[in-house]
Amino acid sequence: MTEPRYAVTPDAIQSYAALHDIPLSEAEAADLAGQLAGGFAGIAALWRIDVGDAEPSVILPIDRR
Amino acid sequence: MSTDLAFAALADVAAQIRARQISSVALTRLMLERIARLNPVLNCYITVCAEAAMRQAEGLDRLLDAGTSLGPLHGVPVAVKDNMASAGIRTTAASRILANWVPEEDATVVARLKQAGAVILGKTNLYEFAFGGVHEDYGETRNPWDQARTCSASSSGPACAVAAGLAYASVGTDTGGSVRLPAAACGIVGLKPTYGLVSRAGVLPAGYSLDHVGPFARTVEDTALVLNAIAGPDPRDAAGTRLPAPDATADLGGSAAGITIGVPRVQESERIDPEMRDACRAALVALEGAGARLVEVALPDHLLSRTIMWAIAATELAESHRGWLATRAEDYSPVVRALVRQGAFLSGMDYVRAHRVRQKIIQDYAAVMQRVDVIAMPVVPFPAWPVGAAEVTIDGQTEELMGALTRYCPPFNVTGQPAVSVPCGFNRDGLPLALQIAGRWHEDATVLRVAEAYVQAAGRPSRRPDLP
Repeated sequence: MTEPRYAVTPDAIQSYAALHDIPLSEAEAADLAGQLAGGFAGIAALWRIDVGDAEPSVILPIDRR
Repeated sequence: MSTDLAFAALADVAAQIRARQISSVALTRLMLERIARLNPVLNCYITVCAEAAMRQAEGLDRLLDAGTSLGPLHGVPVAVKDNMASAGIRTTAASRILANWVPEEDATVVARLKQAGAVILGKTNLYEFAFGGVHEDYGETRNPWDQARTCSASSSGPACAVAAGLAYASVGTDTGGSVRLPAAACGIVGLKPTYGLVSRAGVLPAGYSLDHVGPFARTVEDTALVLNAIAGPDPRDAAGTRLPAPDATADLGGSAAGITIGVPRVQESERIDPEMRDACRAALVALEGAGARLVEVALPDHLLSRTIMWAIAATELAESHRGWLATRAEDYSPVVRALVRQGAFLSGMDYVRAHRVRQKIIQDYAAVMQRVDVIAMPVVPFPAWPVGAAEVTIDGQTEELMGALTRYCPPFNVTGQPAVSVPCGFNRDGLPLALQIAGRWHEDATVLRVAEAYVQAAGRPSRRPDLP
């Protein structure tokens, strides 16, 4: 699986916010880009894991025994 | 009324009420007097329901006069986290956005406490929307053991109330550790039950698929009694169990004979305060002495669970808060506004990926749980920290507080397994230390059995916070 290289820049954040109708100032976009950089590094690690036998439609551990 | 009575076990005061040695009115009055005196210092209650609690206590005493007991909680005063809807009583979630919200209906957990005869003293403080940090309108709940320190995570109010003798038990929510962490910081018992065992209906969501409702008390038996009152199927909770809840008190015999305890191999990312590490090791030795067998197990990387918790909870939080984020962003605290916004920027692909890796982790834990009855490890790498701290130094190394805090609890939110925080001593500064015991899905009673076996082996703690 190819690991995504997230481009967490203020411009990218602003574009995404505009696309999804999320109010965000330029300064807030810059702050958010900084906050998200670490989080996306963690998310990228999830794409290194083989999930071949993990069924995506079973997402809640209800009544598991 | 004595301080001893305020710190008595729930089971003991309930027995005294049933025997008519004390009334629910007298106990409720005792709690309300203590709340009036100590809440200005501790800030654990947001709303105190004094009149309603006294009316409820009077009604419960009349019921007993007529020969009717509603069960093991009859007449006992308890507290409820303020993200749980309470009919006719404001429910703020410690937010400016819901500062004046008065629900028309009780959350199932509140309704069940009332049906079991508990007196609701009030609504307790929390992190805003049970996620991330304190809102300035409500302020930090102070730790009863050292008021310059926090009560740790979101369910700070319910844990503080029980630790300070301002309630005999309480209920909170745990999305990434928010029952177990405050229980550990406050030196009481806190159980995150199996996912879905306690209904989330009427509880404001933090992360739908990670949220758990669980009890706090000063003893394991009291924790089990509250769990019995609140657990079980609820048609109002789409993710709730469909099975009757087993009796959580059934196995509280005090022995760990025949129990196999998995002790996780130390992971590369781990750093732990030496006193916390030593206290947890001593607790394991005590359990071995009580008949348990210890075996080493290898668990998935705790950091993966932390990432999954953040990815799923932040995305689910962002979805449920989208409207307020668009119209009332300035009313959030800066930290929670940032967390909600972060969730809005994760993609659907990332969210699904997090759930698929979650499934892998569940499979790995399920394989481990075939070899052991419970897993025992710390709740948190360090004891309660000073109010306002953003970093923590562990064994000489400084790291970001929230990252270090969420090391040992998220795995069991990700898997949905039951996990309890049980006190295991104090450090040299008099701050509580704690051990986490996690079990197989729906084997909450086994988790509590092992916790009680530890308490009996180590000796029931008698120390109380030094309060004004």
